[in-house]
Amino acid sequence: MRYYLTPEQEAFKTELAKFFKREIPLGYNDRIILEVDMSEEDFQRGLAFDKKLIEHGYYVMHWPKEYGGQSRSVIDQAIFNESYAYYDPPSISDRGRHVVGPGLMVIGTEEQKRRFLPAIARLEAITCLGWTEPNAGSDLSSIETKARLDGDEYIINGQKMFISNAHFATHIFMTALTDTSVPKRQGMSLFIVDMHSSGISVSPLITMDGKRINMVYFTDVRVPATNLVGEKNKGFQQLAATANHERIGIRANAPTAYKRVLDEFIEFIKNNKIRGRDLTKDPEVRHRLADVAMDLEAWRMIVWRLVWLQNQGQVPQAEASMVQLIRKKTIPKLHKLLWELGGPLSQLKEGSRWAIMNGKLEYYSQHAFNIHGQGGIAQTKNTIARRGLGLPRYQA
Amino acid sequence: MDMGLSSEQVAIRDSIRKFLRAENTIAVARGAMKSPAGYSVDAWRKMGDLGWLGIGIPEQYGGSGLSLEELAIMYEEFGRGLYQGPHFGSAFLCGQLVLKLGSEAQKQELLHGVASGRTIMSLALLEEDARWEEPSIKLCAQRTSDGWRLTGTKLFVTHATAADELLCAGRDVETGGISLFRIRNPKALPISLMPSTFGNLYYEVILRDVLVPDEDIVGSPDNAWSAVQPVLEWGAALQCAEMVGLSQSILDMSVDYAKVRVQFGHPIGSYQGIQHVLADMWTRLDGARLLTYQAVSFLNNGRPAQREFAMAKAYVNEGAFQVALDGMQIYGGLGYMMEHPLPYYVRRILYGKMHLGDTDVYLEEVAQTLGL
Repeated sequence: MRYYLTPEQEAFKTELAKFFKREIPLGYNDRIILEVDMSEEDFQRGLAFDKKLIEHGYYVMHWPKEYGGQSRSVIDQAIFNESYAYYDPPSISDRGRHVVGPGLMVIGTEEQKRRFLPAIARLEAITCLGWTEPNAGSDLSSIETKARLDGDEYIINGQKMFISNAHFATHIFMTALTDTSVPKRQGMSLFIVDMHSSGISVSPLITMDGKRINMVYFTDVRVPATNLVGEKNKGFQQLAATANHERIGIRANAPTAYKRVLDEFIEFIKNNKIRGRDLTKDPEVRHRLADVAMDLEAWRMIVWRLVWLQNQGQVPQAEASMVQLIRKKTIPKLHKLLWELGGPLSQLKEGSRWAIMNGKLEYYSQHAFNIHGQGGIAQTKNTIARRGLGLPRYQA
Repeated sequence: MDMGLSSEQVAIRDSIRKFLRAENTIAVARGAMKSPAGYSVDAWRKMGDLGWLGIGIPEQYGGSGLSLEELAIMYEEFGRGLYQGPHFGSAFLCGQLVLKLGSEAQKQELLHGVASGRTIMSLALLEEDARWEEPSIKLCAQRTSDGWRLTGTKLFVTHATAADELLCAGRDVETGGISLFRIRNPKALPISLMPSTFGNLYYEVILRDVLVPDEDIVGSPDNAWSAVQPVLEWGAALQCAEMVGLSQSILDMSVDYAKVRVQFGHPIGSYQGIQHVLADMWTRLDGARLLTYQAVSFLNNGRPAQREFAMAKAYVNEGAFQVALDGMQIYGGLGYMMEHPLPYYVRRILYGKMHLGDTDVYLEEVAQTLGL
């Protein structure tokens, strides 16, 4: 039993802290950059920082050596994710290194691996995920997008919804039905598609917290048959394995991102009164902040438990869903608390001289509701109850 | 990061679990409500013979050595198996205090007995404030020519009528320092039961001009609190482990029940409304267990652990309480009946939550570690 890092792991953590403190542009973390008004300059800054991670060998350090990584352990990867989330550097948040790349390693052909993995590892290919549709949210099997074989090409028609990064991605890793004569779970395939293909159009959807995601439309888009990834008509089963990578890679880093939010707020109230009061002296405020810090720590430990299991080669399902459940409960609790403590001032954005913390509290009031990714809360609980506790499905 | 148990720890866990399963602790808990001792003397003897009571006490003093980790594993099993007995007050609190503060002669004299269970000690700490805090110790200790004269009232002394000795905390009326005194024959003192949810557990002990010779001070005079505080911290971690075990049992029995209880033509466990309650219970429980063992691991290795154990106690308190409520929801009226085991688990959670400080105390400690 050792619930802390080894000296070598501590040294890695220290190295990362130094790296992020040195490399993150001065003042970058003082304000919220909304993607909706993200300029070309903001995008380039994100890309430039991601390239720094590549230069220093951090970007795909969890990949096997043969694909350009360093075969670092899941534990090291988790240490990196914690630091990364806490220091919150600029990034374009590409889905390649955590989802598409690892997915291709498992199910891709040699040719696909050769073509895409080095490109993803160097960010020459930027990938987005095309899994969800207007009628396929929690139920990823109920898609309507179709891919019809025509010679040595597939012709894709349909639409994908809620697609992050589609407006700057070079490729989309997507699902489409390749056999419509059978139930959808037996007729789905995965494709990697060039976003510059003729017939693809992208239009924005703007989230409450000011992030741009997208609708992606496919009208007679011709895709070489060699871009079908994995086994034809086995896409749904292969997606399940890939989605596990999504949960691990993207969300495992999250608790420390919110610990940073809490730490910044505490630093702020130690140096500033809010609405004429020193909140650090108020016992109720102290207890509520401590309470949410405790939830963040429980979330962090539930992430670490997942990491520890994965480090032993396990693929835990219920334990992965627990991460989602506690995440979805803790983010709103933290943000609600902060904006309640800011009172009416929490409504003000950057630009008002009365805004608190450059309008960050206003942003949090909106971000609090960003709790739907990786399955809804009901679906998350179903997974925990059925796969973890062995409870039966309802049979009408 | 290693969240696993060693094979030796797994063996300890499994053998305690097996033993308690065979002991029918529910029947014992029911009986203990009325028995004079307040616990099963028979099970206590057997556990002493098996060497478990001496976990945490070094081998040279008759214990089996081992660390806070094994103690926590044992306490999780105590919770899971609903074991109740004087171990916490005797071998743990008094044993650890004697170990930290006592002279070599006192260690030799006392620890063999508490490690085997043949001697039962109890800590007389709380008074009318009922707070585990230094300023709340008010019992007067007056120096005499060859010792001390103690006067005051101690509350919530556990299993006092079964105790062979008490360790009593008192305040030097001149210096204001806290000392620990051995009271060798507590049965001669006025002891009265404090009737409570837990039957024959808590006693009020009145000391009126009780004379204690100098050699019966444990540790140096006036200097005991610096040892009491860390032992209480370890104790809080063990209370967490016990509540985790209690919660695990409530979850297990609730899952089993939900699979077989049929209402409206279906097992209630096939309804999402019930599944979601169980998913919440399990997630809370796992958070509680992970924070508990994080605290145990930190404390056991001498790392600064203020934040970790304060978070553990506050989180486990609230998590276990919610698991208790949720278990009641799954069982419906049945779980509220004293014929059913559930109330005994729930009551034990109420005890653990209160014991050594409730959530408010630990939230304030967490706030301080946040820099507030």
